[in-house]
Formats: sequence, C-alpha cells, structure tokens
Amino acid sequence: MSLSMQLMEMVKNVRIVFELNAKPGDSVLVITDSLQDMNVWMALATAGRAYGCEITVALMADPRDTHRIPPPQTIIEAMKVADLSISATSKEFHTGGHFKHATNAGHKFIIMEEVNSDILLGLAVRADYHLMNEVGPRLKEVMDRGGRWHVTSETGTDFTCETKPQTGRWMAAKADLSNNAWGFALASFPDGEFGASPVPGSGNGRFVWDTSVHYPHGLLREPISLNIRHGRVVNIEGGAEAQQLIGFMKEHSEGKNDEFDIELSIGFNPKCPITGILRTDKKHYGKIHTAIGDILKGQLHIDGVTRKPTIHVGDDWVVEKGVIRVPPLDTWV
Amino acid sequence: MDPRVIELMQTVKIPLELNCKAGDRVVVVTDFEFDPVVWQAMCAAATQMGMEVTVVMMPTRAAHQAEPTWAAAEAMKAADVNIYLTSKAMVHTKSAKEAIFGKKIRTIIMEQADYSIMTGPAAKADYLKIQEIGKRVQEVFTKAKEMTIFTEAGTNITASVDGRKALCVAGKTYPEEGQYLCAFPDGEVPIMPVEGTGNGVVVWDTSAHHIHGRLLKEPIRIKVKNGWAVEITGGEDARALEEYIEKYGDKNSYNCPAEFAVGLNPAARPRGICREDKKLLGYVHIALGSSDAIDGKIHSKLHLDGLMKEATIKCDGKIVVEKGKILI
Repeated sequence: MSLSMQLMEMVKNVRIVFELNAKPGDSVLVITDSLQDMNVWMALATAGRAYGCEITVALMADPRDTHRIPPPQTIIEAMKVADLSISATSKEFHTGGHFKHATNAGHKFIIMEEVNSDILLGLAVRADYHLMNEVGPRLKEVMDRGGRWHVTSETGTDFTCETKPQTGRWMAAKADLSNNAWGFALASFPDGEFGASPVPGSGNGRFVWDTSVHYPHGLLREPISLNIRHGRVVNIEGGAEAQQLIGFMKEHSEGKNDEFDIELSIGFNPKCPITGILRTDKKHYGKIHTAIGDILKGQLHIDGVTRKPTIHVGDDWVVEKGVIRVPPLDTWV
Repeated sequence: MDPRVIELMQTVKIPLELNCKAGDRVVVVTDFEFDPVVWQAMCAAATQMGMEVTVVMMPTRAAHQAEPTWAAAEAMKAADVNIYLTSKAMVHTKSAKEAIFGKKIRTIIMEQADYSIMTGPAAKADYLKIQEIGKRVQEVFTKAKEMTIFTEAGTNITASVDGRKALCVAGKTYPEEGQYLCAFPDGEVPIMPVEGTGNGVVVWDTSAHHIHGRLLKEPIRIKVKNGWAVEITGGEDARALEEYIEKYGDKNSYNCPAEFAVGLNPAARPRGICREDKKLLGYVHIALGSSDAIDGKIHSKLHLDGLMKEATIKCDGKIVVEKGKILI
C-alpha cells in the first residue's frame, strides 16, 4: 500500500469533497467494501485526515450481491454518529429507507458508489464545483416550476409525465438540506445533476436508453427501449443488452420492479466524460437519466442514460438537443 | 493480493473456530498503521466461514488504551463479535468495556498481532491443552485470598486478591460463564488484585508495553506502597516509562498491581512485543493503571503490562508456580 503518484493525484482531486462538506474536527465515516478499488478509500482517508477530520473507514467484507441492499447494522450505527458519511462502495445502497434511518439532523451523506481510480483521475472530479454550486439554484428555479414534462431524443424517446412545483432537487458535491425536499443532506461525487420527481402513474410513452445503464456495464452497443404506460414499464425491447437487463432484473428482484416514475434527472457537469460507467455518465452535461425499479421497497433501482434530449417543462423549452437553455449553462457545451 | 495471506489463513481461523459461528456479525477493528495483510486474512477466513464481516479502520491511536473513534465504537457495539487488530492496546478503553461488559459482545484481543506473531509458534500452539491447564490455574487463583510474586531479578510483591475472579484467557471466550473476552495468540490467567493492598517491589525484566519491538535493555524497578507505584527506577527504559505515563496517563496510571497474570503458552517466544510475550509459559506480568477491565475498580487512561521471567507465585503461602514452572 505504498503511496503511488496516482494516489497523490486522487488525494488532491477528492479534497473538494471535504472543502464543501466538512470542517476540521468533523467525524467522517468512509464506507467501502472488499470489491472496491482500495485507492478510492485510501485517497478519501488521506485527504480527509489532511483536512483535519477524524476519519473512520468501514469496509464490508461481504459486498452486497446487487444494488440497494442495506449495509450491515454495524455500519448503520457508525453512520449515526458521523458528521459526514461517504459511501465509496462497489454497490449502491444510499436509498430505500435505511439511509434515512441512519442519518440524524445535520448529518451529511456523499455518494461515491462505483467510483474507481479512473474516475478519480479523470476530468469529472476536476470540474469547477464552486461554480456548479452557484448555478444550481438557477437551474432548479427553471426546471422545478412543475407541470408537464415532454422529453424527446434522436434515438426515439417520446415521453410525457407530470411534475409538481418544488419537488425536484439538485446536487453538485455539496450535501445541503436546501437542495431537496427530502429532509436530508445528500450529494454525490463526482456530481452535477438536477432531478425532477414525476407524479407516480403519470408517465406515458417511450424512453430509449442509448448511452449506458447500471447493468450490463459499459457503453451500450444497441439502445434499450422502454415502453411506459401510466408510470409502469410494460415492455423492454432491444438487442442482447436489453435481454441481459431483463435477465438481471428477474434474478435480483422480488415483485415486479416495473415502476418508471422514479426519477428524471439532467446532468450538468461540463467536464464529465462518457465512459460507459453510469456513475459519471449520468452527470454528463445535457444527458438525461431515468430509472426502473420499485420506489416503495427501493430494492432495485436501475438507471439508464439518454443522450441529446430535448425537454419542455410546461410551456418552457428548457433543453434543446442536450443544451441546457438556462444561462450561463447554455454556454457550457 | 499479498501471498502472505495464504500462510496467515492457517492461524487466523483458530480464534474464529473457537469463538464464532456462521451468521455472526463480526467487526474487525484496525488502524492505518497495522499491517493490512492480517486483517485481510481475517476477513477472508471469517467470510469463508459464513460470517458478516465489517472492517473498521481508524487513525492509529496516540497511546495504548486511547479511545477508538466514535464511529468505530458505535460499529463495535452493534456486532456479535469484535476482533481487535490494532497497533495500540484498547481493551481497557471505555468503548471496549461498554461493548464487552455492557453489550456482552464476544471479543478477541489481537492488538499488535503482526505477521510474524500470527505465523509464529505461539499462534500454532495446542489451544485445547492450554485451556485445560488455564482452567485449573483459574480455579486456584480465584480461590486465593492473597498472592505473592517473587523473581530472581528482585520482584517481591504481595497483594490481596480476596473476592476477585481470575480468568482463563486461552483463545476462547466463555459466554456461559460470563467471560466475553479472550486473546490470540493466547494463554494466560489474569486476576485483578484488590486496589490499595499491594506492597513490595515489581521488577520488569523482559519486555513492557511502552517499549515496542525490543526487549528491555535494563530492568525497570517499581516500588509499590499500599497499592500505588511510588518510585520508578532503572535506566533509559525506566525513564521512558515515566515519560509515557506523564504524557498519556493520569494519576490512576500509578495503580499497582493493576493485574497479576501468568502466561501458559509453551510455544511463545520472547520478542519484545507484549501481545506474545505476555503469553510465555511461566512468565508473569504485572500491570500499572486500569484494573476495571475485568473486575477491578480503578479506571485510568493507561494499562501498561511489564513482563518478568522465572517467577514464583504463592497463593496464601502455597507455591503454585516455581521459577516459571506451573505446579498445578
């Protein structure tokens, strides 16, 4: 475990997480697992300690089989007393209820699930997070007025759903209670997204995931098309990757997990590359990501990314072929 | 992967087999200085045996018995089993006591158990045999009202142990008897003498907690009056002890004897690391500081053990260990 030059770079690149979310003396819990790239938690522990925080790393030796399985009780208890928790795990576990139980007032949570060395050495972490935090409220103001969303894309998306005013959220690596209506301070890293909350049951039409999905990994060779009726996915079409996704969902879920009105999120990180890794692809400027799963049980949540969307919210034309029409974001392409 | 894991797997499974079962929720506590190969092997062995393992890492504590981080302490309390793979001893911390005595969590103390210790003979000893002898020594110590310890290097100390219960610490917890802690490598019977009753001289002649990685250069002589260390003399290592207590300790760190214990592991070899040296067959260790980790009454920031060889132990006037030979 020698400190390589690459690790030094990563330590430098994750420092922003502490600058935005912690102060010296804070108790910080880094959660990881045995499938995760060791450099990630080591970079976080090194940067956090250098920033003056009290660092504890909790490593799950038996990684979860799939996303959204709660961590062991031991980790939940440790989270309860930390000022800031960072989930640098190989699987996602931040939602589904247990996260809320594990956070107390003032507790901050940073999602870094699936983040590997490549991501921490890449461009997404080097965006200007201070600037993104300045424009976040403006983006929310335009996108979060409520009304009917209409999304189209070059690969065949044509989808509508309803939203209510002030139900959306935005995140740019700074966990802040004012960024969302959920009552807890949450952000991710790398970051940069605005998310709308569709009214359950209101989604209709077709959504085409053409960039990447949670499973299978990597850039999609063929698009995956989802047909949605009243907020539920009635069928999934496409090539071999669509079949893999259908198989994965059957294997790892109880019940139907066919809900689609879970999220509708736009990335606004201007430096994010497209790599086939969902963690950063979904933060890419101008990409939209949606999800299929079960909002109540929260047991399965599969995200998919669509490029160059055009979006209308009510009468406002807010995104044009992947260009966010909210100054100064319209110049970030 | 570090290939040393392959060797370590042979011995890390021993304390797991003696104390854990499939389905147990295990927390391995470690720190950033501790050789990761040991906790990695422990994880590998425990997950293979069907346990749910969480490794909790924290910055290395400034001194022995300094409290773990708050988050680590909370994780420890939510487990079925705790395994301490830390650079600094922590069984006498408040967090550890709350977990072991408050929450009755089985705890395997492996502080300082590095690669050489874990692959050395002490780890491969016959633990069933050590437990058998340990149980007999435990009975004799528990029944005793007064104990006296002598060594050729000059130790001559007497203290009351009336009403105190000795433990058989031999790689195995005995939850049914209310004993939730053991160590590894292991083999010792400790008892906490009654505070305020110790009188005489303690001479540490082999190794001591505050000097890690080497044997003592010169003996450390501690004069004890009515349960308190009143004078520490000797060479450089004695001065280092005084400085250590001044820097990290408190007035209760001079409580002495905070522990009488005899080692029972015939395979252990002296190496200047208390984790193993304490277990040396026929060696005695006498501590300064906290005595409340078992059934003593005094709490201190420190609990410092010191080792002495070829000790003779008398229980109520009867010799039970003679020059390092167990007569029980």
